[in-house]
Amino acid sequence: MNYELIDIKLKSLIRVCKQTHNYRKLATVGLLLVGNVLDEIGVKLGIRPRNKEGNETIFQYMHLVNSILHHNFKIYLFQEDAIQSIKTTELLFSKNRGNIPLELISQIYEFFYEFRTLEIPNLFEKLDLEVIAQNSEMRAFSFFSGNTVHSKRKLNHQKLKEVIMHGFQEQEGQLQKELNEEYDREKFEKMIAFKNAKHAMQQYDGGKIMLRGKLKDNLIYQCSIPNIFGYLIFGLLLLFLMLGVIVAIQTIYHPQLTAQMSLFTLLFFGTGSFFFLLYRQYSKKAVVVSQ
Amino acid sequence: MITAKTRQYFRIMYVLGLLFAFVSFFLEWYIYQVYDSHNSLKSYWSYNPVTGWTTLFSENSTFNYTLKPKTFQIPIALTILYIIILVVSAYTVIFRDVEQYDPLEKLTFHAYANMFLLILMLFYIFAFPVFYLLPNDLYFPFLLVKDKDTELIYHYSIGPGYFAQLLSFIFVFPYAIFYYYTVTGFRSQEYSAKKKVSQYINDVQEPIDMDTLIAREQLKLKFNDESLDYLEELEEYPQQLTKRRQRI
Repeated sequence: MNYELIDIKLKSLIRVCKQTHNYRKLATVGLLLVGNVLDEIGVKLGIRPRNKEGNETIFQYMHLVNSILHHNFKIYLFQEDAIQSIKTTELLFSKNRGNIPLELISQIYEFFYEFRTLEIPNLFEKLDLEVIAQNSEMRAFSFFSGNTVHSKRKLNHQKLKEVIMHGFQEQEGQLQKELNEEYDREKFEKMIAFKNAKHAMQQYDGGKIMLRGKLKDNLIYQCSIPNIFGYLIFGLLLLFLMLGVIVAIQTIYHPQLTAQMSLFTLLFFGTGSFFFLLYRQYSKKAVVVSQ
Repeated sequence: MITAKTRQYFRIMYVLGLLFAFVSFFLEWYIYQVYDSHNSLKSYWSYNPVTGWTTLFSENSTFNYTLKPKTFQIPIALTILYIIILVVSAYTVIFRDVEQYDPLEKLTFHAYANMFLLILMLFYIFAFPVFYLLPNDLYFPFLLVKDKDTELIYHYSIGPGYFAQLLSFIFVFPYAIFYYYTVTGFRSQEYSAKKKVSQYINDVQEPIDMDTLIAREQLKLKFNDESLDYLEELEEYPQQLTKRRQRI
Protein backbone atom coordinates (compact mmCIF):
# COMPACT_ATOMS: atom_id res chain seq x y z
CA MET A 1 0.00 0.00 0.00
CA ASN A 2 1.42 3.37 -0.99
CA TYR A 3 0.54 5.37 2.08
CA GLU A 4 1.92 8.65 0.80
CA LEU A 5 -0.40 8.54 -2.18
CA ILE A 6 -3.31 7.45 -0.01
CA ASP A 7 -2.68 10.39 2.36
CA ILE A 8 -2.79 12.91 -0.49
CA LYS A 9 -5.97 11.46 -1.95
CA LEU A 10 -7.55 11.03 1.44
CA LYS A 11 -6.99 14.70 2.18
CA SER A 12 -8.82 15.64 -1.03
CA LEU A 13 -11.64 13.21 -0.27
CA ILE A 14 -12.12 14.54 3.26
CA ARG A 15 -12.14 18.12 1.95
CA VAL A 16 -14.76 17.42 -0.70
CA CYS A 17 -16.87 15.16 1.54
CA LYS A 18 -16.96 17.88 4.16
CA GLN A 19 -18.35 20.24 1.54
CA THR A 20 -20.97 17.73 0.38
CA HIS A 21 -21.61 16.53 3.97
CA ASN A 22 -21.21 12.96 2.77
CA TYR A 23 -19.72 11.61 5.99
CA ARG A 24 -21.07 8.18 5.21
CA LYS A 25 -18.51 7.88 2.42
CA LEU A 26 -15.73 8.90 4.79
CA ALA A 27 -16.83 6.26 7.29
CA THR A 28 -16.93 3.60 4.58
CA VAL A 29 -13.50 4.49 3.23
CA GLY A 30 -12.10 4.65 6.74
CA LEU A 31 -13.31 1.16 7.60
CA LEU A 32 -12.01 -0.21 4.32
CA LEU A 33 -8.60 1.34 5.01
CA VAL A 34 -8.49 -0.08 8.54
CA GLY A 35 -9.45 -3.50 7.16
CA ASN A 36 -6.70 -3.31 4.55
CA VAL A 37 -4.06 -2.32 7.08
CA LEU A 38 -5.09 -5.24 9.28
CA ASP A 39 -4.86 -7.61 6.34
CA GLU A 40 -1.32 -6.39 5.70
CA ILE A 41 -0.39 -6.87 9.36
CA GLY A 42 -1.89 -10.35 9.40
CA VAL A 43 -0.24 -11.55 6.22
CA LYS A 44 3.14 -10.18 7.29
CA LEU A 45 2.81 -12.16 10.50
CA GLY A 46 1.98 -15.28 8.53
CA ILE A 47 -1.72 -15.22 9.51
CA ARG A 48 -4.49 -15.68 6.94
CA PRO A 49 -6.17 -12.47 5.72
CA ARG A 50 -9.62 -11.42 6.97
CA ASN A 51 -12.32 -13.64 5.57
CA LYS A 52 -14.54 -11.04 3.93
CA GLU A 53 -16.66 -13.61 2.15
CA GLY A 54 -17.30 -15.32 5.44
CA ASN A 55 -18.51 -12.03 7.01
CA GLU A 56 -15.58 -11.82 9.39
CA THR A 57 -15.62 -8.39 10.96
CA ILE A 58 -12.61 -6.22 11.65
CA PHE A 59 -12.81 -6.65 15.40
CA GLN A 60 -13.13 -10.43 15.05
CA TYR A 61 -9.99 -10.43 12.95
CA MET A 62 -8.19 -8.29 15.51
CA HIS A 63 -9.13 -10.85 18.14
CA LEU A 64 -7.77 -13.62 15.92
CA VAL A 65 -4.42 -11.82 15.42
CA ASN A 66 -4.18 -11.22 19.15
CA SER A 67 -4.99 -14.82 20.03
CA ILE A 68 -2.40 -16.18 17.58
CA LEU A 69 0.27 -13.81 18.83
CA HIS A 70 -0.58 -14.66 22.41
CA HIS A 71 -0.41 -18.35 21.68
CA ASN A 72 3.01 -17.97 20.04
CA PHE A 73 4.66 -15.08 21.84
CA LYS A 74 2.39 -14.41 24.85
CA ILE A 75 1.79 -10.86 23.66
CA TYR A 76 -1.21 -8.86 22.50
CA LEU A 77 -0.75 -6.58 19.51
CA PHE A 78 -4.06 -4.71 19.85
CA GLN A 79 -5.27 -3.30 23.14
CA GLU A 80 -8.67 -4.53 24.26
CA ASP A 81 -10.15 -1.00 24.38
CA ALA A 82 -9.11 -0.44 20.75
CA ILE A 83 -10.90 -3.65 19.73
CA GLN A 84 -13.98 -2.59 21.68
CA SER A 85 -14.02 0.84 19.98
CA ILE A 86 -13.74 -0.76 16.55
CA LYS A 87 -16.50 -3.20 17.49
CA THR A 88 -18.84 -0.41 18.55
CA THR A 89 -18.10 1.57 15.39
CA GLU A 90 -18.56 -1.43 13.13
CA LEU A 91 -21.84 -2.51 14.71
CA LEU A 92 -23.24 1.00 14.67
CA PHE A 93 -22.07 1.42 11.10
CA SER A 94 -23.94 -1.67 9.93
CA LYS A 95 -27.02 -0.87 12.01
CA ASN A 96 -27.33 2.73 10.72
CA ARG A 97 -26.23 1.85 7.17
CA GLY A 98 -23.07 3.87 7.39
CA ASN A 99 -24.41 6.85 9.26
CA ILE A 100 -22.28 7.13 12.35
CA PRO A 101 -21.33 10.11 14.53
CA LEU A 102 -18.42 12.26 13.43
CA GLU A 103 -16.44 11.35 16.55
CA LEU A 104 -16.50 7.71 15.52
CA ILE A 105 -15.41 8.57 11.98
CA SER A 106 -12.43 10.50 13.26
CA GLN A 107 -11.71 7.60 15.61
CA ILE A 108 -11.64 5.21 12.62
CA TYR A 109 -8.99 7.38 10.98
CA GLU A 110 -7.06 7.57 14.23
CA PHE A 111 -6.98 3.79 14.30
CA PHE A 112 -5.97 3.69 10.64
CA TYR A 113 -2.98 5.90 11.34
CA GLU A 114 -2.16 4.05 14.55
CA PHE A 115 -2.24 0.60 12.97
CA ARG A 116 -0.21 1.54 9.97
CA THR A 117 2.54 2.98 12.14
CA LEU A 118 2.92 -0.42 13.80
CA GLU A 119 6.10 -1.64 12.16
CA ILE A 120 5.38 -5.30 11.73
CA PRO A 121 8.42 -7.36 10.77
CA ASN A 122 7.76 -9.35 7.65
CA LEU A 123 8.30 -12.96 8.64
CA PHE A 124 9.01 -13.82 5.03
CA GLU A 125 12.03 -11.54 4.95
CA LYS A 126 15.36 -12.06 6.60
CA LEU A 127 15.64 -11.04 10.23
CA ASP A 128 18.15 -8.41 11.14
CA LEU A 129 20.81 -10.19 13.14
CA GLU A 130 22.05 -6.89 14.54
CA VAL A 131 19.18 -7.15 17.00
CA ILE A 132 20.44 -10.53 18.11
CA ALA A 133 24.04 -9.41 18.25
CA GLN A 134 23.11 -6.53 20.55
CA ASN A 135 21.45 -8.94 22.90
CA SER A 136 23.82 -10.08 25.59
CA GLU A 137 21.89 -13.26 26.37
CA MET A 138 22.20 -14.38 22.77
CA ARG A 139 25.99 -14.31 22.96
CA ALA A 140 25.71 -17.70 24.55
CA PHE A 141 25.41 -18.96 20.97
CA SER A 142 29.18 -18.88 20.73
CA PHE A 143 29.28 -21.98 22.94
CA PHE A 144 27.59 -23.88 20.17
CA SER A 145 29.61 -22.55 17.32
CA GLY A 146 32.67 -24.18 18.81
CA ASN A 147 34.58 -20.99 19.54
CA THR A 148 35.07 -21.72 23.22
CA VAL A 149 36.66 -25.11 23.18
CA HIS A 150 37.30 -25.23 26.93
CA SER A 151 33.71 -24.48 27.82
CA LYS A 152 32.58 -27.12 25.38
CA ARG A 153 34.73 -29.69 27.09
CA LYS A 154 33.67 -28.73 30.59
CA LEU A 155 29.96 -28.51 30.13
CA ASN A 156 27.61 -31.20 29.13
CA HIS A 157 25.73 -30.20 26.01
CA GLN A 158 22.30 -30.96 27.42
CA LYS A 159 22.93 -28.95 30.56
CA LEU A 160 24.18 -26.03 28.57
CA LYS A 161 21.12 -26.22 26.41
CA GLU A 162 18.93 -26.05 29.47
CA VAL A 163 20.83 -23.06 30.79
CA ILE A 164 20.39 -21.21 27.52
CA MET A 165 16.73 -22.17 27.29
CA HIS A 166 16.23 -20.80 30.78
CA GLY A 167 17.96 -17.58 29.74
CA PHE A 168 15.68 -17.36 26.73
CA GLN A 169 12.58 -17.82 28.84
CA GLU A 170 13.60 -15.10 31.27
CA GLN A 171 14.36 -12.72 28.46
CA GLU A 172 11.17 -13.64 26.67
CA GLY A 173 9.09 -13.02 29.78
CA GLN A 174 10.56 -9.55 30.11
CA LEU A 175 9.91 -8.79 26.44
CA GLN A 176 6.34 -10.10 26.67
CA LYS A 177 5.67 -7.77 29.58
CA GLU A 178 7.11 -4.79 27.71
CA LEU A 179 5.32 -5.63 24.48
CA ASN A 180 1.99 -6.01 26.22
CA GLU A 181 2.43 -2.50 27.59
CA GLU A 182 3.52 -0.98 24.29
CA TYR A 183 4.27 -2.48 20.89
CA ASP A 184 7.80 -2.02 19.62
CA ARG A 185 9.17 -3.46 16.38
CA GLU A 186 12.64 -4.19 17.70
CA LYS A 187 11.35 -5.98 20.74
CA PHE A 188 8.97 -7.96 18.60
CA GLU A 189 11.83 -8.95 16.30
CA LYS A 190 13.76 -10.11 19.34
CA MET A 191 10.78 -12.23 20.33
CA ILE A 192 10.73 -13.84 16.89
CA ALA A 193 14.47 -14.41 17.06
CA PHE A 194 14.09 -16.10 20.44
CA LYS A 195 11.37 -18.30 19.10
CA ASN A 196 13.47 -19.26 16.07
CA ALA A 197 16.45 -20.03 18.26
CA LYS A 198 14.39 -22.09 20.70
CA HIS A 199 12.84 -23.99 17.85
CA ALA A 200 16.26 -24.63 16.33
CA MET A 201 17.65 -25.85 19.64
CA GLN A 202 14.79 -28.26 20.05
CA GLN A 203 15.12 -29.49 16.48
CA TYR A 204 18.87 -29.90 16.21
CA ASP A 205 20.60 -31.98 18.77
CA GLY A 206 23.95 -31.59 17.04
CA GLY A 207 24.30 -28.31 18.88
CA LYS A 208 23.87 -26.24 15.74
CA ILE A 209 21.46 -23.36 15.82
CA MET A 210 19.44 -22.42 12.80
CA LEU A 211 19.07 -18.69 12.32
CA ARG A 212 17.75 -16.73 9.43
CA GLY A 213 20.02 -13.83 8.60
CA LYS A 214 23.26 -13.31 6.67
CA LEU A 215 24.21 -16.04 4.28
CA LYS A 216 27.07 -17.35 6.39
CA ASP A 217 24.62 -17.95 9.23
CA ASN A 218 22.08 -19.65 7.04
CA LEU A 219 21.74 -23.37 7.63
CA ILE A 220 20.43 -24.03 4.12
CA TYR A 221 23.50 -22.32 2.73
CA GLN A 222 25.82 -24.24 5.05
CA CYS A 223 24.19 -27.46 3.88
CA SER A 224 24.78 -26.47 0.28
CA ILE A 225 28.56 -26.19 0.81
CA PRO A 226 29.15 -29.98 0.42
CA ASN A 227 27.75 -29.61 -3.13
CA ILE A 228 31.04 -27.97 -4.04
CA PHE A 229 32.69 -31.44 -4.02
CA GLY A 230 30.02 -32.58 -6.43
CA TYR A 231 30.90 -29.67 -8.70
CA LEU A 232 34.58 -30.66 -8.57
CA ILE A 233 33.76 -34.22 -9.64
CA PHE A 234 31.43 -32.91 -12.34
CA GLY A 235 34.17 -30.56 -13.60
CA LEU A 236 36.62 -33.46 -13.90
CA LEU A 237 33.98 -35.57 -15.65
CA LEU A 238 33.32 -32.76 -18.11
CA LEU A 239 37.02 -32.21 -18.78
CA PHE A 240 37.87 -35.86 -19.45
CA LEU A 241 34.83 -36.36 -21.65
CA MET A 242 35.80 -33.27 -23.61
CA LEU A 243 39.35 -34.52 -24.07
CA GLY A 244 37.94 -37.87 -25.19
CA VAL A 245 35.72 -36.11 -27.73
CA ILE A 246 38.73 -34.17 -29.07
CA VAL A 247 40.66 -37.42 -29.56
CA ALA A 248 37.59 -38.99 -31.22
CA ILE A 249 37.32 -36.03 -33.60
CA GLN A 250 41.03 -36.43 -34.36
CA THR A 251 40.54 -40.07 -35.35
CA ILE A 252 37.79 -38.91 -37.74
CA TYR A 253 40.19 -36.36 -39.26
CA HIS A 254 43.05 -38.87 -39.43
CA PRO A 255 41.67 -42.44 -39.50
CA GLN A 256 45.22 -43.84 -39.77
CA LEU A 257 45.77 -42.69 -36.15
CA THR A 258 42.98 -44.83 -34.70
CA ALA A 259 45.35 -47.47 -33.30
CA GLN A 260 47.74 -44.90 -31.82
CA MET A 261 44.91 -42.93 -30.29
CA SER A 262 43.15 -45.93 -28.75
CA LEU A 263 45.16 -45.57 -25.56
CA PHE A 264 44.16 -41.92 -25.16
CA THR A 265 40.54 -42.71 -26.05
CA LEU A 266 40.46 -45.39 -23.37
CA LEU A 267 42.22 -43.15 -20.87
CA PHE A 268 39.96 -40.12 -21.36
CA PHE A 269 36.64 -41.90 -21.73
CA GLY A 270 37.56 -44.40 -19.03
CA THR A 271 38.46 -41.67 -16.54
CA GLY A 272 35.35 -39.75 -17.60
CA SER A 273 33.19 -42.79 -16.89
CA PHE A 274 34.86 -43.25 -13.52
CA PHE A 275 34.03 -39.67 -12.57
CA PHE A 276 30.51 -40.14 -13.90
CA LEU A 277 29.98 -43.11 -11.57
CA LEU A 278 31.59 -41.21 -8.72
CA TYR A 279 29.34 -38.23 -9.37
CA ARG A 280 26.25 -40.44 -9.47
CA GLN A 281 27.17 -42.06 -6.20
CA TYR A 282 27.93 -38.68 -4.66
CA SER A 283 24.60 -37.23 -5.81
CA LYS A 284 22.70 -40.18 -4.30
CA LYS A 285 24.57 -39.74 -1.04
CA ALA A 286 23.86 -36.00 -1.05
CA VAL A 287 20.13 -36.65 -1.53
CA VAL A 288 20.09 -39.11 1.40
CA VAL A 289 21.95 -36.63 3.63
CA SER A 290 19.63 -33.77 2.72
CA GLN A 291 16.60 -35.95 3.50
CA MET B 1 29.31 -31.95 8.06
CA ILE B 2 31.62 -30.00 5.77
CA THR B 3 32.31 -26.59 7.21
CA ALA B 4 32.72 -23.19 5.64
CA LYS B 5 36.47 -23.80 5.93
CA THR B 6 36.17 -26.20 3.02
CA ARG B 7 34.66 -23.40 1.00
CA GLN B 8 37.72 -21.32 1.80
CA TYR B 9 39.97 -24.08 0.41
CA PHE B 10 37.97 -24.08 -2.80
CA ARG B 11 38.23 -20.31 -2.90
CA ILE B 12 42.02 -20.53 -2.63
CA MET B 13 41.95 -23.24 -5.30
CA TYR B 14 39.98 -20.85 -7.51
CA VAL B 15 42.60 -18.12 -7.10
CA LEU B 16 45.31 -20.66 -7.97
CA GLY B 17 43.28 -21.63 -11.03
CA LEU B 18 43.15 -18.02 -12.14
CA LEU B 19 46.91 -17.76 -11.65
CA PHE B 20 47.47 -20.88 -13.76
CA ALA B 21 45.22 -19.49 -16.47
CA PHE B 22 47.09 -16.20 -16.47
CA VAL B 23 50.53 -17.82 -16.44
CA SER B 24 49.50 -20.13 -19.30
CA PHE B 25 49.59 -17.14 -21.67
CA PHE B 26 53.33 -16.88 -21.07
CA LEU B 27 53.97 -20.58 -21.64
CA GLU B 28 54.06 -22.86 -24.69
CA TRP B 29 50.71 -24.38 -25.61
CA TYR B 30 51.99 -26.73 -28.28
CA ILE B 31 55.44 -28.08 -29.08
CA TYR B 32 56.54 -29.47 -32.40
CA GLN B 33 60.04 -31.00 -32.62
CA VAL B 34 61.93 -32.87 -35.32
CA TYR B 35 64.87 -35.13 -34.57
CA ASP B 36 67.14 -36.96 -36.96
CA SER B 37 68.19 -40.63 -36.69
CA HIS B 38 71.07 -39.62 -34.35
CA ASN B 39 68.57 -38.05 -32.01
CA SER B 40 69.80 -34.52 -32.58
CA LEU B 41 67.26 -31.73 -32.66
CA LYS B 42 66.74 -30.42 -36.18
CA SER B 43 63.68 -28.26 -35.73
CA TYR B 44 61.83 -26.82 -32.77
CA TRP B 45 58.62 -24.79 -32.84
CA SER B 46 56.39 -23.85 -29.96
CA TYR B 47 53.03 -22.14 -30.08
CA ASN B 48 51.68 -19.50 -27.73
CA PRO B 49 48.29 -17.76 -28.26
CA VAL B 50 49.86 -14.33 -27.78
CA THR B 51 53.15 -14.66 -29.66
CA GLY B 52 52.21 -17.36 -32.20
CA TRP B 53 54.94 -19.79 -33.41
CA THR B 54 58.40 -19.24 -31.97
CA THR B 55 61.58 -21.25 -32.35
CA LEU B 56 64.77 -21.93 -30.46
CA PHE B 57 66.81 -21.85 -33.66
CA SER B 58 68.19 -18.75 -35.31
CA GLU B 59 66.64 -17.26 -38.42
CA ASN B 60 69.55 -18.61 -40.47
CA SER B 61 68.47 -22.20 -39.90
CA THR B 62 66.71 -22.89 -43.17
CA PHE B 63 66.00 -26.52 -42.32
CA ASN B 64 64.13 -25.41 -39.21
CA TYR B 65 62.12 -22.90 -41.26
CA THR B 66 61.32 -25.50 -43.89
CA LEU B 67 59.71 -27.68 -41.23
CA LYS B 68 57.73 -24.82 -39.65
CA PRO B 69 54.07 -25.77 -39.09
CA LYS B 70 51.32 -23.85 -40.87
CA THR B 71 50.70 -20.46 -39.33
CA PHE B 72 47.46 -19.87 -37.47
CA GLN B 73 46.46 -17.31 -34.92
CA ILE B 74 43.80 -17.43 -32.22
CA PRO B 75 42.08 -13.99 -32.39
CA ILE B 76 44.05 -11.66 -30.15
CA ALA B 77 40.81 -9.88 -29.14
CA LEU B 78 39.61 -13.13 -27.59
CA THR B 79 42.81 -13.47 -25.62
CA ILE B 80 42.53 -9.87 -24.36
CA LEU B 81 38.91 -10.52 -23.38
CA TYR B 82 40.01 -13.66 -21.54
CA ILE B 83 42.63 -11.74 -19.57
CA ILE B 84 40.10 -9.00 -18.69
CA ILE B 85 37.62 -11.60 -17.44
CA LEU B 86 40.43 -13.22 -15.45
CA VAL B 87 41.11 -9.91 -13.70
CA VAL B 88 37.38 -9.31 -13.04
CA SER B 89 37.04 -12.81 -11.66
CA ALA B 90 40.07 -12.38 -9.40
CA TYR B 91 38.56 -9.14 -8.07
CA THR B 92 35.26 -10.98 -7.51
CA VAL B 93 36.71 -13.83 -5.55
CA ILE B 94 38.95 -11.64 -3.42
CA PHE B 95 36.70 -8.65 -2.71
CA ARG B 96 33.19 -9.95 -3.29
CA ASP B 97 32.89 -12.89 -0.96
CA VAL B 98 29.49 -14.46 -1.41
CA GLU B 99 29.15 -15.13 2.32
CA GLN B 100 29.92 -11.65 3.52
CA TYR B 101 28.40 -9.51 0.82
CA ASP B 102 24.93 -8.08 1.25
CA PRO B 103 22.72 -7.76 -0.74
CA LEU B 104 23.42 -10.78 -2.91
CA GLU B 105 21.65 -9.21 -5.90
CA LYS B 106 24.68 -6.98 -6.44
CA LEU B 107 26.83 -10.04 -7.06
CA THR B 108 24.84 -11.18 -10.08
CA PHE B 109 27.26 -9.55 -12.53
CA HIS B 110 30.22 -11.21 -10.82
CA ALA B 111 28.49 -14.59 -10.86
CA TYR B 112 27.88 -14.26 -14.60
CA ALA B 113 31.47 -13.07 -15.15
CA ASN B 114 32.72 -16.26 -13.47
CA MET B 115 30.46 -18.35 -15.68
CA PHE B 116 31.70 -16.51 -18.76
CA LEU B 117 35.27 -17.27 -17.69
CA LEU B 118 34.39 -20.96 -17.53
CA ILE B 119 32.94 -20.80 -21.04
CA LEU B 120 36.11 -19.11 -22.31
CA MET B 121 38.24 -21.78 -20.64
CA LEU B 122 36.16 -24.52 -22.24
CA PHE B 123 36.48 -22.77 -25.56
CA TYR B 124 40.26 -22.63 -25.34
CA ILE B 125 40.56 -26.23 -24.17
CA PHE B 126 38.25 -27.54 -26.89
CA ALA B 127 38.69 -25.10 -29.74
CA PHE B 128 42.48 -24.95 -29.70
CA PRO B 129 43.01 -28.61 -30.68
CA VAL B 130 39.86 -29.02 -32.78
CA PHE B 131 39.85 -25.77 -34.76
CA TYR B 132 43.54 -24.91 -34.89
CA LEU B 133 45.72 -27.99 -34.39
CA LEU B 134 43.92 -30.75 -36.27
CA PRO B 135 43.29 -28.82 -39.52
CA ASN B 136 47.03 -28.04 -39.59
CA ASP B 137 48.07 -31.69 -39.15
CA LEU B 138 49.25 -31.14 -35.63
CA TYR B 139 48.33 -34.09 -33.44
CA PHE B 140 46.77 -34.12 -30.00
CA PRO B 141 47.76 -34.75 -27.21
CA PHE B 142 51.07 -36.57 -27.90
CA LEU B 143 52.33 -38.38 -30.95
CA LEU B 144 55.68 -39.62 -32.23
CA VAL B 145 55.91 -40.21 -35.98
CA LYS B 146 58.91 -41.83 -37.68
CA ASP B 147 59.40 -41.04 -41.33
CA LYS B 148 61.22 -44.02 -42.84
CA ASP B 149 62.16 -42.18 -46.04
CA THR B 150 63.82 -39.16 -44.46
CA GLU B 151 64.70 -40.93 -41.19
CA LEU B 152 63.28 -38.01 -39.26
CA ILE B 153 61.35 -38.37 -36.03
CA TYR B 154 58.50 -35.92 -35.48
CA HIS B 155 57.38 -35.15 -31.92
CA TYR B 156 53.95 -33.61 -31.47
CA SER B 157 52.87 -32.68 -27.96
CA ILE B 158 50.76 -30.22 -26.02
CA GLY B 159 52.84 -27.85 -23.94
CA PRO B 160 52.84 -26.64 -20.32
CA GLY B 161 50.57 -23.71 -21.26
CA TYR B 162 47.78 -26.06 -22.31
CA PHE B 163 48.34 -28.17 -19.19
CA ALA B 164 48.02 -25.02 -17.11
CA GLN B 165 44.71 -24.36 -18.88
CA LEU B 166 43.46 -27.84 -18.02
CA LEU B 167 44.53 -27.43 -14.40
CA SER B 168 43.00 -23.99 -14.14
CA PHE B 169 39.70 -25.36 -15.44
CA ILE B 170 39.68 -28.06 -12.74
CA PHE B 171 40.51 -25.50 -10.07
CA VAL B 172 38.07 -22.83 -11.23
CA PHE B 173 35.04 -24.97 -12.10
CA PRO B 174 33.74 -25.97 -8.61
CA TYR B 175 33.86 -22.54 -7.01
CA ALA B 176 32.56 -20.72 -10.10
CA ILE B 177 29.50 -22.99 -10.24
CA PHE B 178 29.05 -22.78 -6.48
CA TYR B 179 29.26 -18.96 -6.61
CA TYR B 180 26.76 -18.79 -9.46
CA TYR B 181 24.25 -21.13 -7.82
CA THR B 182 24.56 -19.41 -4.46
CA VAL B 183 24.00 -15.92 -5.89
CA THR B 184 21.17 -16.84 -8.23
CA GLY B 185 19.59 -19.48 -5.97
CA PHE B 186 19.50 -17.46 -2.78
CA ARG B 187 18.59 -14.28 -4.55
CA SER B 188 15.62 -15.81 -6.37
CA GLN B 189 14.42 -17.44 -3.18
CA GLU B 190 14.37 -14.14 -1.34
CA TYR B 191 13.01 -12.19 -4.29
CA SER B 192 10.16 -14.55 -4.99
CA ALA B 193 9.13 -14.69 -1.33
CA LYS B 194 9.06 -10.90 -1.05
CA LYS B 195 7.28 -10.49 -4.32
CA LYS B 196 4.72 -13.16 -3.52
CA VAL B 197 3.93 -11.67 -0.12
CA SER B 198 3.46 -8.14 -1.44
CA GLN B 199 1.38 -9.46 -4.34
CA TYR B 200 -0.72 -11.53 -1.95
CA ILE B 201 -1.31 -8.52 0.31
CA ASN B 202 -2.45 -6.52 -2.72
CA ASP B 203 -4.78 -9.31 -3.76
CA VAL B 204 -6.46 -9.71 -0.39
CA GLN B 205 -6.92 -6.02 0.33
CA GLU B 206 -10.19 -4.42 -0.72
CA PRO B 207 -9.62 -2.06 -3.67
CA ILE B 208 -10.46 1.58 -3.04
CA ASP B 209 -10.69 3.80 -6.08
CA MET B 210 -10.02 7.12 -4.42
CA ASP B 211 -9.94 9.06 -7.69
CA THR B 212 -13.45 7.93 -8.64
CA LEU B 213 -14.75 8.66 -5.17
CA ILE B 214 -13.28 12.16 -5.21
CA ALA B 215 -14.51 12.81 -8.76
CA ARG B 216 -18.06 11.79 -7.89
CA GLU B 217 -18.11 14.00 -4.83
CA GLN B 218 -16.77 16.89 -6.87
CA LEU B 219 -19.48 16.29 -9.48
CA LYS B 220 -22.08 16.25 -6.76
CA LEU B 221 -20.69 19.49 -5.42
CA LYS B 222 -20.58 21.11 -8.82
CA PHE B 223 -24.09 20.17 -9.94
CA ASN B 224 -25.55 20.00 -6.46
CA ASP B 225 -27.44 16.91 -7.63
CA GLU B 226 -28.35 14.27 -5.07
CA SER B 227 -29.49 11.89 -7.83
CA LEU B 228 -25.82 11.10 -8.50
CA ASP B 229 -25.87 9.07 -5.31
CA TYR B 230 -27.06 5.99 -7.16
CA LEU B 231 -23.67 5.83 -8.83
CA GLU B 232 -22.00 5.23 -5.50
CA GLU B 233 -21.12 1.60 -5.79
CA LEU B 234 -18.95 1.78 -2.75
CA GLU B 235 -21.82 2.85 -0.56
CA GLU B 236 -23.36 -0.54 -1.06
CA TYR B 237 -20.77 -1.67 1.44
CA PRO B 238 -22.76 -0.69 4.58
CA GLN B 239 -25.84 -2.38 3.12
CA GLN B 240 -23.90 -5.60 2.56
CA LEU B 241 -22.48 -5.36 6.02
CA THR B 242 -26.00 -4.89 7.44
CA LYS B 243 -27.21 -7.96 5.57
CA ARG B 244 -24.34 -9.98 7.02
CA ARG B 245 -25.29 -8.93 10.56
CA GLN B 246 -28.90 -9.89 9.99
CA ARG B 247 -27.87 -13.33 8.84
CA ILE B 248 -25.66 -13.78 11.89
